[in-house]
Amino acid sequence: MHEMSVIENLVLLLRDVCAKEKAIRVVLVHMTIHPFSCLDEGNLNFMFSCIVGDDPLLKGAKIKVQRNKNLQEPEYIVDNVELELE
Amino acid sequence: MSLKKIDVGENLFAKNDEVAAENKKTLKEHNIFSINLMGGPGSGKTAILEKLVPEMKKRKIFCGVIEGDIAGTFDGERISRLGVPVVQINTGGACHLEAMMIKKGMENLPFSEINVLFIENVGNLVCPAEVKLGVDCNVTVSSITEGEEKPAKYPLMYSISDVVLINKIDLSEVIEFNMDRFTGYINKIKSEIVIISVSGKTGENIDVFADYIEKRVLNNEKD
Repeated sequence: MHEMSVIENLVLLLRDVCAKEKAIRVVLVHMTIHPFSCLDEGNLNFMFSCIVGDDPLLKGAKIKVQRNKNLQEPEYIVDNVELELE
Repeated sequence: MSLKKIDVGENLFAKNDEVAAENKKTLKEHNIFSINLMGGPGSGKTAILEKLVPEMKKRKIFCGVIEGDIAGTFDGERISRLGVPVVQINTGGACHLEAMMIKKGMENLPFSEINVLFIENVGNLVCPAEVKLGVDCNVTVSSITEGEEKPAKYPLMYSISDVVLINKIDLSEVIEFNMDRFTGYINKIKSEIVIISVSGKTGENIDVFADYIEKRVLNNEKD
């Protein structure tokens, strides 16, 4: 299932952003996907929580997904991230 | 403790897409026209290649094949019996091929001996549509045994396709299939698409698909 590929790449991106911003936790991720994309928000959040486990940086982070009919090709855009700083 | 919102604006598959662009460039440099052949499991992708590859050879167009499956070498072995270069990729679990897999697969192909590269993707009507490989042409194989509603049920696959092959027409007398309805579902998603009825078993209309590829190969050489 490609939720795994999405989550693998998302975790790498989030770690990178947190390191740059010196964040202690990811709170919320906003993503935009193609209207026909087969990614399900519920499944994505469930699998994300299973994969990150007790990772203090990522545990509890929620992913919100919206579909944009203007996207011409299948893409998974991370629009913005809400972080908790010290 | 404070909260901060950071704008990112990044495509999570950007790295895959970069490798896909490299693949496309490499193939272009060697004048090789590439096709991503997709479709559900059992739709008849390999059978179509078994008829198509010899047809292309008659036209002096020589093919190489990358076979993608989760496990096993069955399809790679079938293609190897055609006497053409073939690389079998086992994803080990991933339900689709990715650009890096193609890049590594291409390292084992004799570029100087082929004009066309067929990439037979993992049998799946969902995920292969979402992952770019760096090809010139996307082809989806449907079969009449799968029903005419497939385009309505899996719109992304059909929306990214240049060609749809509706396979197993040799079974038309025993399988109820409404071609007008099938075509109508596709055209609601994409109006500019080539639809060809074929039989991977009898070879019917494989020459029509071969004509299409031949034209695309010639145009590719002109570009």
